[in-house]
Amino acid sequence: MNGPIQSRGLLLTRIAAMMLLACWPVFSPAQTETTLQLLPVPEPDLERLQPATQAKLRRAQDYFHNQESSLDGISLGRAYGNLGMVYQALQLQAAAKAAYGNAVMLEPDAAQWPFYLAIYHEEVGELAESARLYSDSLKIAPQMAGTSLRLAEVLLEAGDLPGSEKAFRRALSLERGQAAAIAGLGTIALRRDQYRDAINAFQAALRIQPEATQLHYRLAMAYRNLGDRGKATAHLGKSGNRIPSSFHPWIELMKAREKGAGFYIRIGRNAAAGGDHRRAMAVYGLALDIDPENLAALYNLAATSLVIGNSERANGYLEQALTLAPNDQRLHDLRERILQTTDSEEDPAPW
Amino acid sequence: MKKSRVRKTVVPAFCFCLLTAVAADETGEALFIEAGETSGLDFVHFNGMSGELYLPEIMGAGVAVFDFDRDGDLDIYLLQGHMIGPGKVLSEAILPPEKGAVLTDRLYRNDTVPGKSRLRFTDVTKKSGITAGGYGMGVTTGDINNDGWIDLYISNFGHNQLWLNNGDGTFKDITDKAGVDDPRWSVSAAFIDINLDGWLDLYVGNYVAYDMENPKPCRSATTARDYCGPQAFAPLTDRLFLNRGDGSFEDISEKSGITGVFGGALGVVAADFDGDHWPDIYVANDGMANQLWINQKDGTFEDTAPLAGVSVNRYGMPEASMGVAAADFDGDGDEDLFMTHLVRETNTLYVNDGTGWFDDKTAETGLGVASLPYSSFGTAWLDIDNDGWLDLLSVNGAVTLFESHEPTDRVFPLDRRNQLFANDHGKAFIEISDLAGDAFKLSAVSRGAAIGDIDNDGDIDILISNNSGPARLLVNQVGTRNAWLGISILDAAGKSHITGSKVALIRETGQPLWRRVHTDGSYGSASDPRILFGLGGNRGPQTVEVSWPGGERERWNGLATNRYHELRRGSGIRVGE
Repeated sequence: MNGPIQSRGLLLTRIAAMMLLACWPVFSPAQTETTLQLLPVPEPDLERLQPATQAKLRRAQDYFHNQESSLDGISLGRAYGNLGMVYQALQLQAAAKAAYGNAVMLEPDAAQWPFYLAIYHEEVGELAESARLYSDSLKIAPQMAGTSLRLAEVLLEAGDLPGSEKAFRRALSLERGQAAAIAGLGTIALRRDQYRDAINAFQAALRIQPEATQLHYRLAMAYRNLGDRGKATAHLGKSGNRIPSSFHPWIELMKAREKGAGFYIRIGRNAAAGGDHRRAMAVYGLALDIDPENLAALYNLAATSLVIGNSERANGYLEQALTLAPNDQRLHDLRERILQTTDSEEDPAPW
Repeated sequence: MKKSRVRKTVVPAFCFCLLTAVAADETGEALFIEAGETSGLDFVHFNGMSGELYLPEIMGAGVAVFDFDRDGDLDIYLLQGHMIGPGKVLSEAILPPEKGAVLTDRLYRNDTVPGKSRLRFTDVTKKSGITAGGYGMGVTTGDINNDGWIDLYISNFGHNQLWLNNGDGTFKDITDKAGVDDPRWSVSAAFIDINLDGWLDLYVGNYVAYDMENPKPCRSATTARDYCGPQAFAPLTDRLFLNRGDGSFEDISEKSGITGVFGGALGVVAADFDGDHWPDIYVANDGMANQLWINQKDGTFEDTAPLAGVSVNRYGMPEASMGVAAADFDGDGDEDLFMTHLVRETNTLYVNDGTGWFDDKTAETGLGVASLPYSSFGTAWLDIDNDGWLDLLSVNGAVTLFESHEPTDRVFPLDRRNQLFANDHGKAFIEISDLAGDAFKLSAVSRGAAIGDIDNDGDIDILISNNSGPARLLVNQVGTRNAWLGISILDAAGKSHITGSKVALIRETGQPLWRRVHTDGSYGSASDPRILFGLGGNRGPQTVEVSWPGGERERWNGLATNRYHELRRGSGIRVGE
């Protein structure tokens, strides 16, 4: 029932919620001294990349290096993790692996770093290590249905059908009606030659996500093996390349690094122009998460906070922005607007 | 649950056997040793890359092992590249050829002295008259005029060539007379007698329409310039040529139906997949659905791949198929399929149920995970240790610069290690690359792979072509510890191998062991048409039964082991329907 627009709105809201969790202040007892042997993070050759990508990477690297000396323990781990997300989004795997490795060491209680590292190992075909890391992540954040789903898929690929089934069922118990998990159970049934069960599962998944046309192929194989050539042929005719989609906020957060902060600022502006200020806030927040020193994101967050009547929050963002660009006239103009906020009915000018 | 328990009990026993008895025994001997450098096989492939990242430069090339001079041992044909791109000259080559290297295909004669262990090859290209200066992709072998001398079909990025073996050490280019040229981009081909008239026909797999004058600039996920994938180009239709028996061929591509669906062919293999004794054709496409052309016995073919379960993987996704090999790996008498794929895709094993319907058993047999980190090309089923079970070879090399997960300053960082998998009684495969010796520790941009008993000692050797690198000849060190039986399946005159014949080793206990006479499969490569049965410890006289194309059968009894036999059609005992 969710159309693309609704889905995107929901997705962004969920991402924003995750982002707020990720930005929660860190109180680290282990910040005073670090004895861990950190991994060297290889720096990719930026000259081979297109300018826009170079800029994204350079910004992330500069931000990390500027912060690095003042961070320790968990905060340093988080910085490594955030850098890893940029590398992973751009598929610079070796750099991502090292950065996440450091994040896992420095912030062992954060579930997202073993999760991201698991994706790395999954992508390079090291499924046993990937499964171990997904399991580690689930121990820290057992409520993450999407993590259980990915663990199930890795175990399925590795041929561990009992382990995979358990993880698919866990994913479903955490979040009912996940087509990908139901389809996964169907695939397990198919592998066990339990064709009726497979058919039931695939049909159930298709009822939830009729657009997942790839499931018709699996249905076709199940019917074929049952001897029903007619239905097999009919489903082959409907089969396509779309797999059952699944949502994992951490993956969306990581992928957002590829698009860059500017992309989300543009979406935010469109949302604000359409009067959807809460969505605009969420998307500007994502832009800031991608690029913590992004002046446009800070400005728009401040301005939108003002529009929705949260002048305190607006001030907070503005102060951050002024630290980065103390002489920027637009920021000073906005400060004036905030001071006059009770009297004004006009929205601030966009950045 | 049951399967899982079986595997757990079998694997340790198998590993023990393999580790102690075959690979890492007391002598520490490797499964294979590299003998290319010491045998005179001094070929180094040149891809002509100049920094433009033209797709063809990373796709070649195949190899062939075949006995062109009928002296009883396998000779070698290697495909070469040249500078590629409009106006490009040799001085622009990033990886220039060795000084004095002749940039045409090369024919090496096997001059090994029988009884001597040291292999010796001599470059006889000039003497042979072969002047194959195209940008080489693949080679196919077969006797097109039934004179007993094996001919060559060369697939190029550009015009193809058919070289007729004159029987005196020389070859003649009869491409135009035969009418089998295809000026597009061909890689793999197969000689196959589609109408059972005794003359080899020719299937040519074509890849994509790559316009050298207007190459598309592609970028990797990191946005760095990189090689394009096939999706950037339009796929080409394949060709099917019917041998008229007079040295010419008729192009029956349209009327045979094979141009109806297509998808950028890289691998071609012909076999009787549905058990009706007529040869069918499987075509492995890069990134698009594959085809299984079932012979309709009237000169036409029908693609049954979707319902047969071999057009896409078990999830319904087309994969980037490169090489393909067909054989009866599980000993149930039918032809199973294995094909190699891109990194982050598994290589895929399709198990035949005997009727031409298949199930993807990649994960169940342990072949999936090990192949995920590699882009693989050439492949072959081969019984490394002559235990009667067909093991698997997969030769690897990346296709994009950023497939590499490590930062590198190298200009051509596509090299990868090759892989060997041991067949555990037709139920599972175990990677044994680390046990296979230094030859499998080499990292190269491997593409073609052909197999055959190059030193005629009774076990299977491997020839691998490496893009922008030396050819590697891997000589088997362990196969002859077990008994073996070598067979050439010939026509009544004793001249030509009968491609498509199936040979069963009749065993006192258990199912017959089936092998197929073929040279096709792998990636742009041609292998030894002789059959080599591994007998394990069984050294007594053997019985074999040949099922000729069309279904007639003959039996031979009392064949001595540890030697080669020639079985001529009509000289055995007829077996009833």
